[in-house]
Amino acid sequence: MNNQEVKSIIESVLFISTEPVTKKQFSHLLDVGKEQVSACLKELEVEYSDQKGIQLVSINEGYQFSTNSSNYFYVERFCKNINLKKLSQQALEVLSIVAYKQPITKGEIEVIRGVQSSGVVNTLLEKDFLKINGHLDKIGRPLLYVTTDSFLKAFGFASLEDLPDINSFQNADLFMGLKE
Amino acid sequence: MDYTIEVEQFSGPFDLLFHLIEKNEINLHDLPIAEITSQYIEYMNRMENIDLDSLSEFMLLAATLLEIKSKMLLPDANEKDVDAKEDPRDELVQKLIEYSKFKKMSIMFDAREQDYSKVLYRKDTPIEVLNITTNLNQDLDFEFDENALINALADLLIKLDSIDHNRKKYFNQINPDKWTVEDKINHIRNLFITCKTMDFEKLFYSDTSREEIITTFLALLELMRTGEIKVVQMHLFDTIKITKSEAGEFTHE
Repeated sequence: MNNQEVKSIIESVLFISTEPVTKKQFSHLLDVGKEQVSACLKELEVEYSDQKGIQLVSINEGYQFSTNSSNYFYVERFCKNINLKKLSQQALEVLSIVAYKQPITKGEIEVIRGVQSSGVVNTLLEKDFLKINGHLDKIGRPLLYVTTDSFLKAFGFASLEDLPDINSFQNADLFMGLKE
Repeated sequence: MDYTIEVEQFSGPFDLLFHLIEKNEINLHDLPIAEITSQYIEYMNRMENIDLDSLSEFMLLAATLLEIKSKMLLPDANEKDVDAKEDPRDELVQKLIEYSKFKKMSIMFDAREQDYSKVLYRKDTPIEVLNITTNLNQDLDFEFDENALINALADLLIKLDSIDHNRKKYFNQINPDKWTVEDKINHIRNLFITCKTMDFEKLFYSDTSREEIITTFLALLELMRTGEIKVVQMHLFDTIKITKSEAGEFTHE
């Protein structure tokens, strides 16, 4: 199969898919080598430049099409059921803790926040920003929480490695008005 | 000081403390504990409509602050080695620094959420593409996980929606359970008398309604639990195969 054909199939599959599709999946589906898939995706990434209305987004090793955010105004007018529900301050706090400390138990989240967090964790589970990933092998076998691909999508991270370095904040920068 | 800020906006005691430190431009490494404590308590007194759980958390930190304050006022009687003297504020400051990092991150997340909420993805999955999107992006030598089974069941149920004619009838009246897990276990056992391996889908061929499929699925899980059968998937996208376990022979009662 030549690259043109592979690219065409990738585009069709991505167009219909509601989940990120990985190189491995493409390679299996098309029965071509991973190198060829990678090369084709690279070409596609170039073709779907910032000007295109459809963007090729990479999420955790997978690829998916999205709309171009600069067209949001019109897309939103066209679609009636877009709900832009913002997360609460509490939810964002918990999410940032899990993002950097995962896998993490609810207890550990609560130690950092100094506040009971069951409700917030449940909301985030419901919204599919967090998921349960096994138990901690300790007394009580508490559940371990990790972030999901939906989280990466919603916050525009390609992978967890893409998160900004949390230690980049020097202690002095933590409080904006701090005087040394 | 101007107390126009409603306390409800604080997500927790650390958040309030963080706010006070930021507002007063306090040097974290020399926390004026007396000043902070009195401001903190002032805020707490102004809290209204706060539930008991949250209040107790705010109280806990207030108590901690007071404890540190009193420790700093009292000379340490046992103190001999001056260098070894611990600053009672250290633990709190460490916690506060830890919290502040995530607090800062959550502010950054907030901005990102706004930006990226304008990037939209397709939502409704047409039935036909379920096979492709089933979440099997692991290596070929991946471990079989329960998600593969759950996805397979979801596929079955979705396909059923179009053929489930019995379903409407079913809801006209309350019927006794037509199928029991025990019956289905026996049914599966009987199927395996004649063959060793079977496709996952084939197991459900005779099932006509959602209830029956679920009963069969529960029976399958039960047989997996007892080790009578094994469920394997050789490759990505392959049909899931059900095989009779070598070790665990079927025991007919």
